[in-house]
Amino acid sequence: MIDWSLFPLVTVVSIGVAVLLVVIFSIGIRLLASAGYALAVEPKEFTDQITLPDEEELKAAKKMKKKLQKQLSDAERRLYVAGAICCFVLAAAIIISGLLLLLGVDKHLFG
Amino acid sequence: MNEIYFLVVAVIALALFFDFTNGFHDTANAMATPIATGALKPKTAVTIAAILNLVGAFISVEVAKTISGGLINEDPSGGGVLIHPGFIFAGLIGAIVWNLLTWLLGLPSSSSHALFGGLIGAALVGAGFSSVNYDVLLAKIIIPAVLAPTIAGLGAFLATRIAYKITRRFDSRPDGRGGFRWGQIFSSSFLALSHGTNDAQKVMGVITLALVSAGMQEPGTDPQFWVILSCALAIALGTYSGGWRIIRTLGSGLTEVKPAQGFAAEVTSATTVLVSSHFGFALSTTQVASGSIIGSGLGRRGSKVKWRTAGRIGIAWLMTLPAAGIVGALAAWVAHFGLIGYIIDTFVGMIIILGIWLWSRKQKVNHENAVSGVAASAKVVKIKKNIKPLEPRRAKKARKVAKARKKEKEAKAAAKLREEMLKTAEIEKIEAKKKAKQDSKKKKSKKKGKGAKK
Repeated sequence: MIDWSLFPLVTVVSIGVAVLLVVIFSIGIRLLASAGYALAVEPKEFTDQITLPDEEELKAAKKMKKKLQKQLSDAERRLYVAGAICCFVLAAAIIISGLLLLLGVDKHLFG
Repeated sequence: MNEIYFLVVAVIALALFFDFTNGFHDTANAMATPIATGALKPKTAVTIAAILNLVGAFISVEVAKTISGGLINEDPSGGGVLIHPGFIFAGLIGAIVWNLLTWLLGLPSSSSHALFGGLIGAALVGAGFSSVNYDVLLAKIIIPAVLAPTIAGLGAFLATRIAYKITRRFDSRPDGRGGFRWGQIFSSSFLALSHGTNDAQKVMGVITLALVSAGMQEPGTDPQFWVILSCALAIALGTYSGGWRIIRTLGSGLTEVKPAQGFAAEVTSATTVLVSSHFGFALSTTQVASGSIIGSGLGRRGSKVKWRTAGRIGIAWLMTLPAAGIVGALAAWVAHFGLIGYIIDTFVGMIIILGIWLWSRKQKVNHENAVSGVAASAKVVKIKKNIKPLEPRRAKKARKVAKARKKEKEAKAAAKLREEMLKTAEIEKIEAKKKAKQDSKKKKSKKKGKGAKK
């Protein structure tokens, strides 16, 4: 007998967890960028070859970073960074708890 | 009895070789992007992938159970069919030959589907139609083969859209999307772990099936620890040895994948594979990764599907199971002749493998023959260059309101002008009438004056 209920379950859980992880990580990235800790210059054309920003672009990035950090107060910056770290920790916690569920740790703990 | 021992040893050796090639072939799928973006050094990336594949193999045994205890009716006491280890041997020969052929011809193919096809083909020829459990084949292999890449594609599409939306900035400050490169270290590791979970288990299932069919293990039992360990080590070694191939894959189809997009695709692939593994779905990880790369590409602005390329890849995917089945069936037919048949199978298989290996050494390595399954699917989506930057919603609204106000003002001015024109026209009319009246009066008075004179 085919258990048809498994297919919608797999669909919802897979998409739901993936989207949740990406949302949390993106919020973390956004907060980090708002705090001025972002890589300011991206390669103009992302080629996936080993081409990283050149020295001039990196200098400009550092300058931009300093400028951004000056615009924020220390408390604001700390708050943004703390929020970003919380997001990254939360994403890691979701992955670890998912793996523990797969290992059946919940059955050992709760019978 | 000696013949069966020989066959079981041969099946284990072939299965571990298959596992090794699987790891060897799929490292590029998981680790190409973090190396390409410079987030990880090639050696570090390959080592991480190998360790995580090893760990992943220990996470679950559901997929192994699907293959060892569900797909083939191996239990005679439970109403099943007695499967001879020779047919499993023939199935493995079929899968390996088909895998190497597609690799040589540069066709995108799934090694997992080649394995299932080879096994099913060999079982059908060796033990008849009742040897395959069609419910399990449909529920655990065929439906997931269609569903999983679709789920991965849809999830990656949504995740990419959301990631871009959250990190989009309109104040000309940096959006920080470069941070996704660091995220890709974790998402790729997650993908490597899920790969180990699903792919290593398929081989565990095959070895367990061989042990059950030889009467060395009870039907319906889990894979033994030494089987899990040897499969985990084989896939990890294959992954580590396959590292060099990553460098070749870099210049190929993944050129358009941006960090945010790659991160979303990898996370979606990993969750889809892990959740499916938990329910015993035997998937092709290459197809899932391909689905998510296509979905994430479509999640970017200005993307378009190249249907011809998509169709070609789809046909290659569809062909894998039956084609490997035919090769497996042929090998099983030869195995019917007993010991001489197995020797012919081994000999022909070895000649084909050796021939392909020697032929591949003569070929020049370029972007055409180094394209991995996932990189090939990245070419399905075309992304427009020089897309107009998005405007913030508030600015868009303000622009619309200003435009409406301007229109209203212009309409009012036009109405006023018209009114004035009308007024002037009326005044002119009245004046003209007055003039006409005056003129007629003058004429009348002149006529009266003339009449009086007469």
